[in-house]
Amino acid sequence: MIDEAAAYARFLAACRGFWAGPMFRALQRQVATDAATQRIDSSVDQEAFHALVARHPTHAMFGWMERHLQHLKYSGRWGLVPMVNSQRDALLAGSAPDDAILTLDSALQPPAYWLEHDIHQHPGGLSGALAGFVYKAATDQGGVVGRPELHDLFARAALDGRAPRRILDLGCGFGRSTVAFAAAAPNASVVGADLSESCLRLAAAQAPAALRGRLHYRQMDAAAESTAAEASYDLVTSTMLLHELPAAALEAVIAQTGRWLRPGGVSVHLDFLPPADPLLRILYDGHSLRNNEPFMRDLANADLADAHRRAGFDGVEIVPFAEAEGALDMPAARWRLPWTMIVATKRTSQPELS
Amino acid sequence: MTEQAPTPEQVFFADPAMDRMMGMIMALAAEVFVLRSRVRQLDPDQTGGDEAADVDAFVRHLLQPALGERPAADRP
Ligand SMILES: C[S@@+](CC[C@H](N)C(=O)[O-])C[C@H]1O[C@@H](n2cnc3c(N)ncnc32)[C@H](O)[C@@H]1O
Repeated sequence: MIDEAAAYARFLAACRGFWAGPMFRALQRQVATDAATQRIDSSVDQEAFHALVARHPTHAMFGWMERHLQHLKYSGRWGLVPMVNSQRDALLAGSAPDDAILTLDSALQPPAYWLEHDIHQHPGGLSGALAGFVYKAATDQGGVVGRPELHDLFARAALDGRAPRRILDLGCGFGRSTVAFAAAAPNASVVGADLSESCLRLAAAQAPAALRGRLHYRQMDAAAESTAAEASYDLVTSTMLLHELPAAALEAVIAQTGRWLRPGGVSVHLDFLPPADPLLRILYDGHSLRNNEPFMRDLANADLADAHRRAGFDGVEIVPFAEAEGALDMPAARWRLPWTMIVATKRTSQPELS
Repeated sequence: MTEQAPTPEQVFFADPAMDRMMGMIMALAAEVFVLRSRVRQLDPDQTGGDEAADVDAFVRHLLQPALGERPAADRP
């Protein structure tokens, strides 16, 4: 059974490789040819270009593949959910109930948007007891999101030579981003915060022995007023959290981040902002729909500079992030999510009233 | 207790029946690949070669027709 599941996963991963590579390039090529034949300039005649892409058979195929390869991965015959469920007892027995580096909040009321959406087409989202194992299994199957190097690369870029002593990692999941920051900042104690008890338990259980003393995991809503000490962090970070938040929660997380940081402290979020290229933009919006990421469009439409200024920051810097060598080259050789760093520094003094 | 009505799946093709057919084709292809790797285990001599190259070739063979492009070789 496990062999069959592994073969199934290899098949799906290869299909995904074909989809992101040859199928994406065929789509780019064919759309460019058709636009030229029909004399449509994608940056000027936006409506005509959208219509051309919307009725393009290769776009239909690309969209179908994106949605259904992900569906097959989680829910198909050998999908992650049935596979993890089949090992339920063993997995739960292996996760210790108490852990000195874990603080759970049994009174926490998770927000409706988090409970109601099967984000990434993960059935039940991250609220169930086995959700952390499913999430981990999904990332173990490779892809950019699954590569530990992504987190190490981001941690180094976010630190940018700084040596913070206290770091808060929002939406830490099962701790990959949190561990990367602890490893990259040897003088820092790092708190990972998330809503998902299952993810946090897994994070604590897997904390590397060498870093354990500097790690702590806390169950909390990053968008809610919190009891966490104000102005006490040098760096607040998140990896793939912002696009999971509806507009009001996004705004609240930025406001909270302003409170948690000391003056001069820095926030760095890694997420996906809309690309400028017209075809890539259509695929970005399509991804949000196809992968059940409804709030990605809230992030795309947010006025991040304004939200940061109101939260006490000196504006914001938007920095494209290359998750692999050549990832930012245009025309793109593979479909990728547009990884972007959102960097802001907390003001050291009150702005002058004008 | 009445069963909750499932929500309709997203539609990508002009004819929604195509979406459903694609689902059946991909399910079958997955089944064939899983069988193929079982055969490889039982009789490595017959399937030979390297597994990673095999899965890529299998998937190219399966999905190349989805691109609707004439293979360069038979271009007039
Ligand atoms: C895509 S995962 C990223 C996990 C981790 N940072 C990583 O890179 O592996 C996003 C995480 O954000 C968490 N999350 C979503 N909304 C949240 C909120 N309001 N407060 C805290 N965590 C939240 C989810 O539970 C999930 O674990």
